[in-house]
Amino acid sequence: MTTKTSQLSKRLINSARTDSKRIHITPRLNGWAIRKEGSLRALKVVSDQYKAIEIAQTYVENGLVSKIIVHSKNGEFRTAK
Amino acid sequence: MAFTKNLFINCPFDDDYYPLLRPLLFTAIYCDLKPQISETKDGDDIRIRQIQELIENSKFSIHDLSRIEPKSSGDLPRFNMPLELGIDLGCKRYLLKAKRCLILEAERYRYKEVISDLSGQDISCHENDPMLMIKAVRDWIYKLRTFKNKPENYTVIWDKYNEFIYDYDKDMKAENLNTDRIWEIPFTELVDHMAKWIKTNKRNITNVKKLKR
Repeated sequence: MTTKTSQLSKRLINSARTDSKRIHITPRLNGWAIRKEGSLRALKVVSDQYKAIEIAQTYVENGLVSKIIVHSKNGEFRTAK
Repeated sequence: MAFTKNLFINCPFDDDYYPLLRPLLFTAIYCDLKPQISETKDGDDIRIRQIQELIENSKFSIHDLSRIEPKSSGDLPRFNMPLELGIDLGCKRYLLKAKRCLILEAERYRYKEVISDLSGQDISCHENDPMLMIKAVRDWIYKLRTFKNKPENYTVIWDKYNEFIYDYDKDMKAENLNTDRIWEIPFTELVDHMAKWIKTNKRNITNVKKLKR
């Protein structure tokens, strides 16, 4: 393992410890799931991505989370404010 | 190598297939299997011999036939995947190995037009969708009923996969590595990273559950 990838391994192990201040919006067969990082269950599943972002934003406004990550079907993602 | 946990993966190794290969690998590791991929370790190795050894040493295998058609008009079809599937079926039959395999396709029943003799095998369709890839692999592992711990629901693995991809992208970029290029790091290394991430993540969730009790 090179120095660069050994460093990557350390970073990934650290990242895997989860950050409960992040909320993920992921596609489902029947809509979009809103889930706090680290949790195995979705808080809610809604039919529309924009609706999911709106709901996630209320968690940010209430100070429960600080970052919203919106995932796409093909494994890409973006952050939403 | 632990035969009972090894999973031989027979699929294309190119950038186009990478968005499907990653969830396939992640699901296998999440469900406690050890992916085995043919990588050139020694320039003198005869590749087919290496593939035969991997197949012989793997109880499980996944063969994705979704990319056997020519890449563009004028190209020839790709025969590596059907060839390796044939070696695996032969290994099961002639070495009398207790092997189980999953055959994947992009479209349901398309294989019947080109390899109709496969009828009766366990064939699933992923529609080139990473989430359906996770569902197909997870459901197959569940149906095997080989492991003490039943795999989580496919939505849990899909969510965890997305979490991993977020961390992987962020951490690869921090090391000036490109996440979209399939050969940026060797497969064995990607598998190691996934395994460590999953182990740490599962342990973390167990600890959180204990604290909540």
